Amino acid sequence: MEQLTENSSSRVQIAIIGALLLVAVGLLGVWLYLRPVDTNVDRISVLDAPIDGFDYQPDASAAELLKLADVTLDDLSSRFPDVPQTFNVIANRDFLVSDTGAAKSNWTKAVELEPSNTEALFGLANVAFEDTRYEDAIGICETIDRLAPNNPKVPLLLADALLHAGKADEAALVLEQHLATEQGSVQAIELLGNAHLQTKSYEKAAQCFQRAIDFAPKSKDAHYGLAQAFARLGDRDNAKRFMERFKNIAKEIGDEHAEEAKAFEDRNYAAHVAAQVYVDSANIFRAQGDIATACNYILRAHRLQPDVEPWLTELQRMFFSNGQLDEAADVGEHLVGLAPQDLERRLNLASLYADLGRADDAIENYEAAIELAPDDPRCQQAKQIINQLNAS
Amino acid sequence: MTFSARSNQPISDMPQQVSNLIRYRIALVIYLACCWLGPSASVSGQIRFENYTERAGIDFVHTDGSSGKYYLVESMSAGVALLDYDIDGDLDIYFLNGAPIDSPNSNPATNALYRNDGGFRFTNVTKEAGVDNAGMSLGVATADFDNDGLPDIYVNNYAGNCFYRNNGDGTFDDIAKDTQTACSDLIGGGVCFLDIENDGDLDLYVANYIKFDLENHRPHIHKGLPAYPSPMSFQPEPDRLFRNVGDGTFEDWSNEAGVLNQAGRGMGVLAFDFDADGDQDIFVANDTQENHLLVNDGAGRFTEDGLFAGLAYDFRGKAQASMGVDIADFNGDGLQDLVVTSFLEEFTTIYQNQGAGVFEDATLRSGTGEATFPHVTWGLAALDADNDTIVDLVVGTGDLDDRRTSRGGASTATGFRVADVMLRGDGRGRFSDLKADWGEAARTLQSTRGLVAGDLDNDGRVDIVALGARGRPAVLRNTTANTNNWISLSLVGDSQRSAIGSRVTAVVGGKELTRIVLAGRSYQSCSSQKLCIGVGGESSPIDVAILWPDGSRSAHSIATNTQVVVLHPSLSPPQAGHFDSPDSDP
Repeated sequence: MEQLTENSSSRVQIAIIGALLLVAVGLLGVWLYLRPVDTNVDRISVLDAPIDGFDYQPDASAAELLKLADVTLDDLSSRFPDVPQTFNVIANRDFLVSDTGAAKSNWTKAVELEPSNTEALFGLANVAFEDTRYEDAIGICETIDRLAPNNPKVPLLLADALLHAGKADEAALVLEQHLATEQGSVQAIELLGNAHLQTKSYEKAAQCFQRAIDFAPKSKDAHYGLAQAFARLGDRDNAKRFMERFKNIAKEIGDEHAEEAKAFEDRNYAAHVAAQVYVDSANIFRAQGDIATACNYILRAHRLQPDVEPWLTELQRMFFSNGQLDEAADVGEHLVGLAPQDLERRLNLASLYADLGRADDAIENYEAAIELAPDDPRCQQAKQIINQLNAS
Repeated sequence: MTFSARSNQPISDMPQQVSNLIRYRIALVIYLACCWLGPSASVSGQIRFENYTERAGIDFVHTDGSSGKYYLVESMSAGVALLDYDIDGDLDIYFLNGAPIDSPNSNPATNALYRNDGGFRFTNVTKEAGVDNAGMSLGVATADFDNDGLPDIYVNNYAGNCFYRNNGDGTFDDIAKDTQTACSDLIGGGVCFLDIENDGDLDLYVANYIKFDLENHRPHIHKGLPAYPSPMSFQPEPDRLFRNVGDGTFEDWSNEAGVLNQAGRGMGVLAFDFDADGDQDIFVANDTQENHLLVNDGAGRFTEDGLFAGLAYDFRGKAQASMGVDIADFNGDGLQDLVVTSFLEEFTTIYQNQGAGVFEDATLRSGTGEATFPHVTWGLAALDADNDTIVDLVVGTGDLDDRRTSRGGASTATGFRVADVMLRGDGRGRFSDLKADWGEAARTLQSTRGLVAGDLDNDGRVDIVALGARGRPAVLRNTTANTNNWISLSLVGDSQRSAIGSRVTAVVGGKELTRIVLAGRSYQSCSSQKLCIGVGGESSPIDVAILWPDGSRSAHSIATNTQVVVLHPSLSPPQAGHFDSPDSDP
């Protein structure tokens, strides 16, 4: 009996302990449920946190920044020595630092490894153009066009090379074909206007430049071209009018350049070069399946050039695909901060919050998106998600 | 063929002007006696220029005064001039030199005048001539501003210009301060003489570059190494125009002329009647901004109209870093076209004259782009190198960045010291690059700035003098061997003795070959005012028509392979044989 009593007492104690444990687990569950919201308030954004292996000083000189690029490229070369894209990345850097000889050599290696590598061929066409070997540039562009007929960059370079080779008629043909599908390409329209100026087709030139101004009202080149066309047509009044506008635009741009020139040090350009190397390298790592390194490199690029948005979009995508939702949300928050009126970014961020269980943040961003574009079909869907989140 | 007579003293007690006129007449007789009896068959041979710097006795060395502080003005360096300062019938050379701008008194280097002794030999006469300015000299022009028959020299400097009046005895006096043309607080560029109101007195256009404060200078850092700052870091400085009062003094006419309204980073300047309305307009090649065309109203008041004229920008509306300028009829349409040099990765631009003061960028059709694009291009000269009646083009090249290699190299195949570029014209506005095929000159490496052309040995072939920054110049003797003929003319005006602005047209085989008498061209330089015209295989006397600055016209028949002095109709009695009488029906 006493044994029974002892046993019963033990069972009660166990039950009490069990109940307490259940309560504790429940409380832990509640705490865990609430925890993400509180924790994220204190979390350091991945964009601000230290980056693994990145020894960067904010006051680094231009030479030190370029050294960062060199180190990255050395690493890339040792890891992926036979990947054509490796040579493209190195060549891009060479081209950016105006070493067209080295760029040519590296793009040539890429083509040797992969004869149909259109990126490398396009680089070689650019080098030929820069070297004033316009006939070579024309030939390479035609090769690219055969390999990848719809590359939109090629017709522009081809037409420019034809124009510089004194073949304005042929340039005009290329541009007219290009404009049949790319009607809003201001660069193509302006080039066509220049081709018409060269062939002394001043009426056509004027039409082109006017069209370019319709698309790009602040285009300096188009205003100049139109003024020249009117001058050749003997329309002095219109020539003067557009020259005045051209002068004003040129002055604005000139003032900007003068301000840049006063900076006295090209550190920003070196930062741009190093950042571009990181991003290009990240693409290779991503292609090789090493998403973590790819993300690390884009974070480095961002640290060097915080305002370049396309890299961040790519970074967000990679974090998401790698299951790093917190990090993806960090990037999303930054992107929304840069452009609060961007519907796409709002919806992406809201969706990420929802995936993270951050219902309030998700609802807030869905509502902001609905305010931006209430009639957008995606916002109708957002309303349903808000209801679901509120219900849960 | 060259003159050996050298007299720096007046030949009589007559007034200086009259004695000089007589000297000209004597020179004329000697010239006419010096007919070169060359063959008359027409051949366009290979263009050849040999480096005669050493052999000519030219030991000049240019310094830009650089001390590693990378003052922008150092990179500009200097021009060079050809003039016959001693009126002996051959061309002398005046080289400009640099100096440390932060310690001007420490400079042992000076500008240098080399007297032509004939036989392609020169003697340094700087000291005795008194033209040994030791400042940072940048631009130069020569002409007879006081109409005494003697060419004077104006030197545009960094902070304090010189105006050397020729005394006629081999010496010069600096009258810059007396004439109030010293511009002591300005940084100069090119300079040219012109007669702004056709009153017979040569006026003076003085280009200025930037507003610069030595105290606030900071070197630019490019790819981790110190470099020259961009010109765009500095505000442009308006040019100055000095009007010749006619009594040996000048007045600052800049404000009245409208020049002060146009601030530009002025480099090469050239005065010419761009709109064919009978007066002299002014083109200013500006660095990193639009070029200026100052259109004259005939009374010495100017309106800037470069944009409408099509001369302000390149064909895409891009402002170039314009450096030097020259004019010539490149496409044989009888109109003077303009050529402007520029920076690395910019074209030496050909502006084709469409008439009525309108020009069109014809560079892409001209073929000048590919040869010049890799280089910074500076001085230049439009010249008929092989006397085949077609204008060719020599372009001085040389990077201003002496550390570009250390920085990882240029995007183009250039260097601080490179060979100049010779472009052979085809007479229809197109050029072909002779590359390494124009003799020893093509292997002469230097960083050319000023460049001028003139017949130094009076053999009818135009030679070239190129000032090299931080080094020796290149005196390039034209040794082109062919049977082409030529004529050479020196004009003596009436009230304006240098006859600046005169238009000389020779008719050869029905083709009109036109040359303009200029006092200021190229990169801050001044070529010979003696005109050499190649006439190809034509051996019979050449019909020459001259439109003088005052509107007078004269016509002449000039035997080939002769050098003549042509006097203004009011000075010249009818000449039998070699000179025709002035045309009485303009």
